[in-house]
Amino acid sequence: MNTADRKPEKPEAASPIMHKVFDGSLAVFAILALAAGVAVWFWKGPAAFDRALDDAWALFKFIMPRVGAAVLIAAFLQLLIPREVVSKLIGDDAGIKSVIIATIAGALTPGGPLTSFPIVVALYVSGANKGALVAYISSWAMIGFQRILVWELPLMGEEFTAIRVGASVLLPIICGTIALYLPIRISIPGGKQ
Amino acid sequence: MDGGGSPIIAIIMWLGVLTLAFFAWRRGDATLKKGARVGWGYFLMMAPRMCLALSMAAFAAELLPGELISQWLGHESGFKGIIIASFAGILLPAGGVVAFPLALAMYKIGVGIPQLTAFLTTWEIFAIHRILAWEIPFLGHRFVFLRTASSFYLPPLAGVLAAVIISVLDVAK
Repeated sequence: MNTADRKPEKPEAASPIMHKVFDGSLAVFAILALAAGVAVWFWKGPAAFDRALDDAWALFKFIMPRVGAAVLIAAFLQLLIPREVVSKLIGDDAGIKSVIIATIAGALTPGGPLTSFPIVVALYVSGANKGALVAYISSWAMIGFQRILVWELPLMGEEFTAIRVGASVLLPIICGTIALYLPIRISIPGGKQ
Repeated sequence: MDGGGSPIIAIIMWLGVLTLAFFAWRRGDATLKKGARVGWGYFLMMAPRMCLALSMAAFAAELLPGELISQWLGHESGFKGIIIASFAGILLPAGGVVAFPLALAMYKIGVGIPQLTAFLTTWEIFAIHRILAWEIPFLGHRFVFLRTASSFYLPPLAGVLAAVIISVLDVAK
């Protein structure tokens, strides 16, 4: 899910992101699936092969309606919550308050690394502290709503998702606060003028 | 269906789509059309990959040494299992399209929720491909160093917290 339909701040970073449906990554998936299938057929027999395909098909039918909804939610939220709103949430606030705000902003950031990493650079340039930057990217990675919606909820179910998200929801604040006070200086290459 | 859930979630999600579409429509510009187009683009990209990833995960579930894995990472594996799972997550250099079907395969063969939480947390914050392809180029190695120093203990902590939630709420036994 990293084909945010907008240009990143560093245009050269956009090129490796696949905008096409058919590309190298699909071929890699096909090869891996084929290899796994051959291995199952070979070692576990045709019955196991059929059973695996039946399982996969049942799951595919089960999650497709959810995935259909999830991609539309992701697309609309991305258009309705522009990147500037997320940036503005943190601004140049200092201290733990900024860590908490950054955690919320990270969880609300739609899209893949193509959206989130340029935001970190933008936040750094606009004066956000290092704790907020760490909290932001950790929050996006651990409790970002889009990944939860598109992948976790359809595949893992609501119980697993609720437990994992519940266990993770405070962690960006913890690591952001520690990062705030660690004596490590950062210098962000993308942030140089 | 081990990994699934009730249709209620799907219904809520589609109600969410309708709500957002309504807001997009109320803007009176091209937002509604653009949202549908972007969503359709996502779907086109995901459907074939998901098809392949789910097959791959189903085959992997047949191939994975189920007894061994559930012995190491099962509900009974406790804190040791959480630590093993935290390290195992580093070995997953892939996006969500592979990680979640694989996590589902692990869930089905009996990996415990705390262990799986630790595994996914490592993958989420320390996925090696994301650090190499995105974090170092954009944010620099000093940022990676700061983040590692402030976050290295998070995967086992998430696993332990998941275990606490499970025992306090008395769910998912």
